[in-house]
This record gives sequence, C-alpha cells and structure tokens, in this order.
Amino acid sequence: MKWFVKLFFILSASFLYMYADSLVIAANRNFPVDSLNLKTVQKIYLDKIRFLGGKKILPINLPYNHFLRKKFENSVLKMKRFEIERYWLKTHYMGHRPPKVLKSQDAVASFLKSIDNAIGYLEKGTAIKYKLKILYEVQNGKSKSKK
Amino acid sequence: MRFCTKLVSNLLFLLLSLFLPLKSISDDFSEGYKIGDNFYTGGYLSTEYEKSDEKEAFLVDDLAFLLYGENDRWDFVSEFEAKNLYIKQNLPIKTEESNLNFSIERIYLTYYIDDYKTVTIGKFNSPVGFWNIIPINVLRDTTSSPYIVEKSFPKLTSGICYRYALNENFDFLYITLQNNEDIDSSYNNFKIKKHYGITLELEKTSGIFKISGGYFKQRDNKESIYTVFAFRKIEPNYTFTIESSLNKIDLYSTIFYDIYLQHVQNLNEHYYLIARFEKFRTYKDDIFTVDKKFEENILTLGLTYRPYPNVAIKGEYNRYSMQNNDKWLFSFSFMF
Amino acid sequence: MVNLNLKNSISIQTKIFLTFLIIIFIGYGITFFYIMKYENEILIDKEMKKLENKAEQTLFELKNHLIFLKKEAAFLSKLEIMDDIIAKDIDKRVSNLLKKKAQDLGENIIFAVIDNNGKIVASSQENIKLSFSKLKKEEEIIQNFFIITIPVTASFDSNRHIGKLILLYPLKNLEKHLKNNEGIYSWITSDIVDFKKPEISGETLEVKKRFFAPLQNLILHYAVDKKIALETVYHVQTLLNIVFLIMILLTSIFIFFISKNLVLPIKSLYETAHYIIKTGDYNKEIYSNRQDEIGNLTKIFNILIKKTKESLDSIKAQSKKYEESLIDLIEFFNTITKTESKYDTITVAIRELKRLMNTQDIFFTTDKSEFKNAFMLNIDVKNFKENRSENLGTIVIHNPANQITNLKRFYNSIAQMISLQIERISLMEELKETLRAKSSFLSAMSHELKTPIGSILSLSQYLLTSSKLDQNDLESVSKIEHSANHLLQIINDILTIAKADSGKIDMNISKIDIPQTIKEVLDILNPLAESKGVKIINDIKGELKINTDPKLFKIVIINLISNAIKFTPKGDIHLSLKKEKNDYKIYIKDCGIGIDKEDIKYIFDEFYQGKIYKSGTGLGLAISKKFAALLKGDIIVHSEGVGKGTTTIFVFNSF
Repeated sequence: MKWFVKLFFILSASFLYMYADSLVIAANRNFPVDSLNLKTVQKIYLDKIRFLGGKKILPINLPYNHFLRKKFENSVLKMKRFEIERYWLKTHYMGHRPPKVLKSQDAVASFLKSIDNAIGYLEKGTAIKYKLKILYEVQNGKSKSKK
Repeated sequence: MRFCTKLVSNLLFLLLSLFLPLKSISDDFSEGYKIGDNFYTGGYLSTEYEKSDEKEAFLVDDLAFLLYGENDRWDFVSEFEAKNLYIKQNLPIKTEESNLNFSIERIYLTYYIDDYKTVTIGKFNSPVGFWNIIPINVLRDTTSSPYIVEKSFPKLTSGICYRYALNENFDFLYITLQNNEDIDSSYNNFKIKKHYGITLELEKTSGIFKISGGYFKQRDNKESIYTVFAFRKIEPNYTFTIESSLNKIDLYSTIFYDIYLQHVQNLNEHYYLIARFEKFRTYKDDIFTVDKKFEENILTLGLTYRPYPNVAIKGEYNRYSMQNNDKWLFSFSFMF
Repeated sequence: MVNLNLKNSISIQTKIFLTFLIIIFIGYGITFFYIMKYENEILIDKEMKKLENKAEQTLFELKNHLIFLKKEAAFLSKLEIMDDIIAKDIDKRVSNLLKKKAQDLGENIIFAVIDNNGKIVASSQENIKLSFSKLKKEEEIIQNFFIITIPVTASFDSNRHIGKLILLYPLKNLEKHLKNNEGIYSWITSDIVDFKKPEISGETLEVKKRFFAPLQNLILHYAVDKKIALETVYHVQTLLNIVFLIMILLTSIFIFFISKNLVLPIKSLYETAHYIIKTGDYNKEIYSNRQDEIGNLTKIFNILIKKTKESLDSIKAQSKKYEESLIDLIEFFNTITKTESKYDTITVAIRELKRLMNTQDIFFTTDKSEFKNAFMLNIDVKNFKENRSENLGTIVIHNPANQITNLKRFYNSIAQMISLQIERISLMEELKETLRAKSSFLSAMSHELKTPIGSILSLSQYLLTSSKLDQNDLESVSKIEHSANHLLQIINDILTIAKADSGKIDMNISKIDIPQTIKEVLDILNPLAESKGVKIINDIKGELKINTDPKLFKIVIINLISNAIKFTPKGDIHLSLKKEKNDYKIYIKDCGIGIDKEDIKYIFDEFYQGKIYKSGTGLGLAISKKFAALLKGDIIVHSEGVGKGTTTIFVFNSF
C-alpha cells in the first residue's frame, strides 16, 4: 500500500515536473518587496542577504529529496548538491545556518500565508491557489537553457 | 609519551564518534549541533604528514571548537583553537612534542544595521583576499597555504569592521579598524597594535574582485603598508584564483611582493586537482642574514579527495626554486 | 607473731560482679521505664511524623513527576518542527511527534497543540472533547485532567507567538504513584475525581496532606495499622529482655575470667604473703607466666620476698657476728679483769687480741714512732698521785684478719679497758699499801704511846698514894692521872680498830646463850645507868643459842648500851630481840637526845662525835660496826631527829 502511494507520488511529481507549472519564488502579500532578481534570490537562499526592506527574510526550503528542491538548486542556485553542501559547511565556519525546511509544498504555502517575511519556492499553481505573491518565476526552458 | 598515546587514542575516539553522524549527510546534511534555542556548536580537526629529503613529520596541527548563534539582528561567532597539538618530527633528530593550549581564534558580534550595513566587533579574520576568509584545512584547497596570507597582512584583526553594500548587486566595502592590542595574539601572524584597512569586494560576471589596502603597526613599532588584489572565478568545473600583494615595511627599502595563481579543477564532486604557482619576494626573519630579501618560486600540485562535504583527504607536492624545501604533504581533516 | 587483722568481708570478685550487675540493672531499669512510660507516645508521635514525611515525600515525588512532564512539554514546544503550526501541520509532523511522545511517556497522557485561535492543530489522540478556549493559566484542572499549557514561539522569531502546546494529564494517574504495602495505606480524596480508597481493617493512625497548587482540592491520606506501628515497642521490649539476659551471661563469663585472670593471682599473692608472715618462711615463691600488670606484680612480689629474705639473712649474720664480737669482748674484759699486775694485763691483752683478731702480728712497744697500716692502741693511764695521764706504751695491731665494724671504737674501748685495768691494779696496790701503812702506823704508835702513858699513870697513881702532896697538887695529879687514863683508852680503841682493819683480830667461835649474855652485860652496866637515873628494860628472855664470838659480841652489846645510857639524860632504854629470816636483830631503843638527820651519815666514821655531845673517844660506834661486820652482821641507827630518841639495831648471824 505504502509502496503504491510512494509510486503514485513520484509519478505525479514527475508528471508535474514535466508538464505543470513553472517554479516560482513566492511570499506573503505583505512581503516588503514585490519582485526579486535571480542574484538576490540566490543571495537570500545562501544567507548572503539577511534583510530586505528592513525586515529579516526567512527563506523556506523543502526536504532533501523533494523534486522542487532539486529543481530550485539546479535552476536558481545553479549549484550542484555537493557544492551546496560544501557551501553550507563554509557558512558553518562563518556562523551561518542553512534555511528552514518544511515537509511539503502545502506546508510551505500555508506557512508563507501566515508569516509575512518568509519566502519559499513553489509551483506556480500552488502559489496561486494560496493567493501568494510571486516574486520571481523560473521558466523551465530558460533555466535549462541557462545551464 | 603517555600523553601522546592518550591524545592519539582520544582523537581516534573523537574521529569515530564524529564520523557516525556523517551517515545522515546523504539524507539532509546539516552541520554542527544545536545546543540551545539559538545556539550551535561545531568544530574541526586537521592532521598532516610531511615528507621531504631532510624531514619527515606527522602532526595534529589543528583542533578547534566553534560556538555561534544568531538572534534577529545579531550574529555571534566564537572559535577556540589549539594548534600543533602533537608533532612528531624526524629531522636529523627525532622529536616528539605535544600541547593542548586552546586560544581564542575568533570571537565577534555582528550587528545588522539595515539591509546593507553591518558592523562587526571583536576578533575576526581580516576581510582580505579569499584564502584568508576560509583558512582552515578542511575548507581550503590545499594543505599548504600560499605565503601571501602569512607575509603580507595581519590574518586576524581585533577591532571593528564596518561592511557596507554599495549597490543592489551587493558589492561590499569593508572598513577595518584596530587601535588596540590583539584579543589573543597567539595565532596571529603579526603581533599588531594598529591596523587600518579597507577592502572593496566586487562581484562581476567575470568573477569576484577583492581589492584591499591597509596599514598596520606591530608591537615593536614596525610599520607596514600593504595592498592586495584578488580575483576569483567560479565555474561549475573549475575555480581560478589570483591573489597578489605589495607591501612595504618601514625598515626595509625593498618593496616586497607576492602573487599566486591557482587553478582547481573539479574532476567530479569528490575529486579535485589543484595547480598553484606562487612567486614572491620577501625578507628573511633571521638576523644573521645580511641581505634579508629573497625571492622564491613555488609550484604546487595537489589532489584532494572529499568523500563527504566535511571530510578532506589531500595530497600535494611543493617545489621550491630557491629554498631547499621541496616536499610531499598529505593531510586528513574534517569538520563537524 | 604478727597480728595481721585482715578483713575481707566482700571479695573483689563479688564487688566487680555486684557492680556490673547494678550497672546492668540500672541501665535496664531506666530503659525499661523509659520505654514503658514514653515510648508508646513517642512512637505514635514518630509514626505520625513518619507518615507525614512519607506523605510529603510522595507529594514531592508527584510534584517532581509533574515538573518532569512539564519539562518534556517545554522541550517539545521548543522544537523547530513546531513551526509547522503555522502551516496548520499539514504534513502531520507535529501530530506524529506528539503521538510518539505520548506513547513514550505512557500514563494515558494526551498532547495537543492549538493555534492562536484556540483551534487544535495537532494532537496525540483524536476526538478531544475538551475546549481549550478557556485556558488561562499555565497549570490548571479541567474535568479529570491536570493541564499544562506552554506557549509556542516560532523558532525563527522568538517574538512570534504561534500557538500553545497542551499536556493533559489524567488525575487518576496520581493514584498509580501511591504505594500500599506493609500495613501502610495511602489514597487520595477529592470532589473532582473518584479515587479508590484501599480497604482498611482495624484501628489506624492517619495523616492528611493537601496537594500543592493547583491541585489543592486533592488531599493525600496516609494511614498505618496501629498494631504494626506499635509493633516496634513490643519488639524492643523482647529485645531488651534478651539483651539483659545476654548481659548477665556475659557478665558472668566476664567475672569468671576476671576471677581467673585477676583475682586468683591476687589471691595467690595474698595467700603467699599471709603464709610468709605466719611462718617466716621466705623461701616461698609465686609462679605466674602472665605478662600484664598482675604478672609484673607477681614478679615484683617475688623479688620483694627474695630481697626481704636476703636482708633478714644478712641481718642475722651481722647480729651473730656482733654477738660473737660482744662475747669475745666480754671474755676479753673478763680475762683482763683477772690480771693483777700491769705486765700481766698487757701480756693477757695481747694474747687475747691475737685470739680475737685472728692475727699474730700484735705487739706492745714503748716506742712512740708511727706504724703504717696498723692500729695503735695507746695505753694512757691516769696517775692519781700526781693527777695526770701518762702513756705506758702502745699496742700495735698489724693487718687484723678479723673484720669488725666500728673497729676504731672497738679498739678504743679495748685500749680504755686495758687502761682502766692497769689503773685499777695500780689503785689497788696503792690502797693496800696505804692500809698497810695506816695499820702499822697505828699499832706502832699505840705501842710507842702506851709505854710513856703507862709510866705517867703509874707515877701519878704513886703520887696520889704517897700523900705528900698538898690539896692543889693532889688535884692536879688527879687530873693528870685521869687524862692519861683517857688517852690510854683512846689508844686501845685505835689499836682495836687497826687490828680489825688489818684483820688481826682472832675469832673464837663458841655457842653462847644470847639472853644470858645480855643479862651478864646488864649486870655490869646497870650501876652506871642507875647512877644516871636511867632504867634499862630488858625484853630479851628465854633461850637462844648461836655460834658466835662471845667476846666481840659482848663488846658490841656493851658499847651500844653504854652509848644509849650515855646519850639518855633521863628515861628508859628498851632492849628487844627479833629474828628476821636468818638475821637476828637486837633493838636498843632510848629516849635520849637523838641524832640530827644530817649526822646519821657520818655516825660510823672514826673519831666522829656529833655536834652536841663532845666527850668520849668517838671510836665506839666505828669499832662496834667493824665487830658487827666480823660477826656477819651490821649496826643500823635510826633517829627521828634531835630530842626524839634513837633506835640502834644490832644485826648478827650465827656462824
């Protein structure tokens, strides 16, 4: 039964990845800025920028194996997993922590809905469903071509 | 001798106990341990093996513990480090020594003034170049460090550092001021009582540029000025770095210089090939030498294996043009 | 025999035994009394306190348990995962965590997390009927639950309150932490929850304790069975009895050992000492191989006995030696005193000294030079004629073999003895010579005087008869004749005394009848007495024949009676005879002038005449006394004083 569920999720995920929405960086409607460029998103997610519009920004991550996270790392951070891990090791030396992790897209969306200064990466559909503000959108093709 | 065996066995135990959590890395890697609401701890260890024609040495050269935490607008970082815990040398004469003196390597508070400005107070790595920012074995590219970080400017500053983002691209300007004795001068390369420095960090599409200039005064009132130019280009397959410096110490008429070029090729995510060439003119510390300045070319070739992000096993060969210092270096280091 | 006067009414053994017994009895008595009197109350008191302590302990434990739970809840609330509250716990991460924790803790504990609206976001158990909207305090009781509420803040922003963690603890659980055992019961009463009360039989001691806030409506009861509580008293009493018996037994054993180890040796000492005192046998010894004080005492006692014996022996030997020396000395003196000449004395002395000192190296010398290593006995003799000391010579004693203590004094006394003996000899020689000279002088003088006096007498008597003389001349011649006659009588008396002194009186012993002889004497003297008007009353009658010299006897009697007549101007003279033992005594009592007490001492001296009466030769009594001595008797004179008469007693004896 569990197996079946997992398989279903994986299939549906890959389906979403292939056909469904593009990846967006979203936040609460009260988020201090309305849009972000790629570099800023990178810097936020690498804890190089901590404040925006005078507010401390709280980036939210998805779990290690989440398909969106992989997509995000490839297309936004443009870093390999191992590289990212080395990076966080360096920040560990500098006294910085990697972003907070929530389990599911829905959890992230729900979280963003409540927390004004948090940002997360979601599928566009989910972001819209939860009526979140989209700060940056990654085109599937673009990100691929960029890489 | 008893102390050494004890130390080695303790270190082995430490290694084992620290490697166990590494298994979970593949799942969702996180460093350090949370020890309070907002506090984390961690540390690192480095061991080296050096072999040359004249010399053979094994050393546990670094053991450090980190304690850091963050609040809404505050960052706190501290590092307690013991260097050269254990040295076993086989020069013409065999020697073995050990000590366990922890010193404060870093301790500072950073305050986020606003989106663009931070101020750091305490003892911190001087924001000069690339190598000096991340100087520990497990994080750096080779076991040996280029001479530039030793001979050109103070590695550590005990004072204030003001960082200002110049633009939306977050190019930074650092202003470093020290007008007092070091907090703990044990591991600083210069025993300074004054240091005024400025650094410009520019991030361009071609790479990151860091330009620094400064003045420092040592305890014995030797005054020096320096300027450092650094460039780093990070690509998915390789990283290329240049760091160069000019510095003048008031005692010497000569202007000393140092430049290195380093190329790190990522063979895959675990293996890295490193080639570095360094050329410098510096002075000899020993007082018997009449002509104190001397020039040197060093060629370094190395291979680094990182089985996990926090573990590094490195091997390298250094070739010197002047000094009789050609050697093989191997090291094992990790962070937790 | 020494009177020891030893009294041992109570032996040490008994004393020790009694002392211990008394101590045990007192200790036991006090303890027993104490227990009987107070222990009951104290024990109940103690038991109550114990119960109270237990109740407090239990409350403390319960409180700690709740604190522990609170800490657990607090720990949960701090977890980063709690941030999922914000996301309504869509991923059920919080729920799973709560379930796991609730399972771990057990005890039907329920965890729940509510958001800021009081809506349950996650819980360890579905269908929680309670409404949490009323929760106000950190800890409170709702229905059957003790509820702990902990606010949850966001891990990324400690100022952001995102909800509450709630721990529901069923109050019924508290009961499970109570312990009921060994007669101790504990239960909780409350009007909120029905707690079980254990079944209790019999009388109990009970303690009530109110729970800590906010459980103050709960009351913890602790009770103990009274029988069990007081069990200790009975146990203690039994124990005490056993202990007492054991003490008595131990004491007896102890005393046994004491008597064996302590008293017996002392007794043995005492008996030995007693034996020694009784018999004087110092050879007795006590044997002991002990190393303690008693062993030492025995050793010292033995040493004491030995020393005493040695001392006694040495004293004996010494005294024997002294005795011998004394005997020797006495013998020496005895021998010396028998010598009759100076030469003899010296010779005998040297001989005797040689014997005494057990050496031959003794000699007498008149040489005054000193001799080394020798004792010098200087023989100093007093010359009475010239009244000075003169040295006769020295007895030199070389290396006397016989050691005598106080040798010097011994020699001195010997020397003195020799001197004395020599003095005595010389004195005796002198005396003899003097007496001889006196006698020869007296007899010579008497003979030489008798002839001219005889001539004077015969010539004067011739002149008186010739009648050619006138009355004056005749008177003168008569006085001459009278004086010459008196002189002749004196000479005859002196002659008699001289004869008596020089032993020239011949004794002719014959048996005479004393009363007859007295009568004959009185026949002669009566005319004289009658002429003076003195009456002699003779009480000596009958017959008493003894052996004596009649002539001397008559002279003495005549002398004494005529003396009495002479010194009695008027009155009677009584004569009587008594026999006392072997002595015969003739009493001549007059009522004459008497004798002064002073004069009685000199009455028998030759030529003494007293102060009052100055006629006669004064030799009468002296002669009488000398004759009485020859007749193995004596003359004794008594007088009460002048004018009170005199009693003269003539004592004599039969030959």
